[in-house]
Amino acid sequence: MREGAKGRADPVEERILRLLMENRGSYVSGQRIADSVGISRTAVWKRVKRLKGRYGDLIESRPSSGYRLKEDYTPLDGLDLLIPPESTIGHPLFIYQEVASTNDIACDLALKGIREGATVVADAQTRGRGRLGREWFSPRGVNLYLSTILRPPIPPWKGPQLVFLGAMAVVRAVEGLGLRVEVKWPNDILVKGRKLSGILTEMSSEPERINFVILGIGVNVNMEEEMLPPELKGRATSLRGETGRVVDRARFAASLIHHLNRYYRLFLDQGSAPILDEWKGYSFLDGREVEVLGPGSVLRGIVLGVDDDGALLLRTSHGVERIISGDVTLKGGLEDQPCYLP
Amino acid sequence: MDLKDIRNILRLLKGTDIVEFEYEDEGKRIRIRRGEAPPQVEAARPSAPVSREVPEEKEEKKEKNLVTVTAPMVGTFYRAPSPEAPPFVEEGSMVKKGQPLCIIEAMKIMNEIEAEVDGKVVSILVENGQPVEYGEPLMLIEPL
Repeated sequence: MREGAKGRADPVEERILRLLMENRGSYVSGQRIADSVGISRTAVWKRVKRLKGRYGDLIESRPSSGYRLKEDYTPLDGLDLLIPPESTIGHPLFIYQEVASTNDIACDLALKGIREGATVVADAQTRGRGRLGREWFSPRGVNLYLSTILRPPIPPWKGPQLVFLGAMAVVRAVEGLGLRVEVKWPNDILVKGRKLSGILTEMSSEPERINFVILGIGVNVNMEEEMLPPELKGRATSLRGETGRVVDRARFAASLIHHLNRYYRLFLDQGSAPILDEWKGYSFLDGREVEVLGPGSVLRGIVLGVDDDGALLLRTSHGVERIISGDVTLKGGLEDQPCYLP
Repeated sequence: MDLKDIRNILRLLKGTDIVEFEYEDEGKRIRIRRGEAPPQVEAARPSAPVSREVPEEKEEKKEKNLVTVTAPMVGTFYRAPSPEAPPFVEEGSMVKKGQPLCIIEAMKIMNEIEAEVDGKVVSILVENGQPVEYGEPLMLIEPL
């Protein structure tokens, strides 16, 4: 199943965009667009100007040649064809041009009772968010914004274990491109200390059971350093930045969905222990000196690792503390949440 | 008998005036004695604002009608979706079933706790940003 951004996109603009996508990388003349869409060349020019407002540098124009969508733009369309029918995750699939936040859309769908595995992806987010209302930088057309709905038959207190599932799925998908990654507890994916991906997990529960969990995953795919706002320069990276090539977003998303599905099955069959064991092999913080900023408190110490529940173990001057929430900052180094705007 | 059973017993006792309860099963025995003072929350948080005394007196009187919202997991209690946003509810707020009341966070998973009944928030027992234990009372709601 697929949906466009209902009610907001101009259908003529969408047809022009489709034409440019079909001819991605090469110029399409204004006349050809005008003929194929059935509007005047001036109208084409106006519409393309609006599209440029949305797609920025991804759409180029050259006076004698017309307009083109840069090859750097890898469409999400077709992702549905890359997900095997037996996969729980990714069916149904909703592909949006633009949303406020994929987690918000997924939450609405979940409240309406949509089945587990339903997944939302978007080309852009206008209000991409991280934890506690922090902003997630979500430029159009270059990154992956994906939210999937899970309805695990487990009590709410086991819900937090799901964050390791999301983290490991991203790790495996990124490793598939030949990159080495680390995970900053519990689920920030880093390459050489820079943030590549973040996960926002939201849960709705009753006292004894989980209604649904939304696993919201943001991955910086083809974003380039110069696109970053100043606060994020040097702190965030992308698959393109690390591999030196444009990564096909639909293929990467399909790989991520494959690993999410695999780990979710494993979680349902064997619980979180085997996933947490794998996770331990990627822990970025082990042995490092950190500060843990809780609301109204700061703890300092050396990270010993995580316990069987996935809580962070910190050796402080007062003994070992077990951390289940708080922002972890490297002492005198990388700041926490490097991909969030302040 | 496991923790869940004990919790259920505690819940059952909550709306009653039973002071002492004893139960034996397969060599395991549990004895619960209930003092006058409601939730240990008070003791654990000496810095609690004075104004909290008022709703608790009310609680004594109307105890039977109140629904206790408890923490479904260990974590940090948040009254708002973000530090800048207004709290989901205040004492005295009217709420509908399914309306978000607060968030418990653990391992960066945000668990939105919803009202199980239509009613009025009589008392909020935990301060924003405080750690909460599994089963800890968070709010009292007077059903409509």
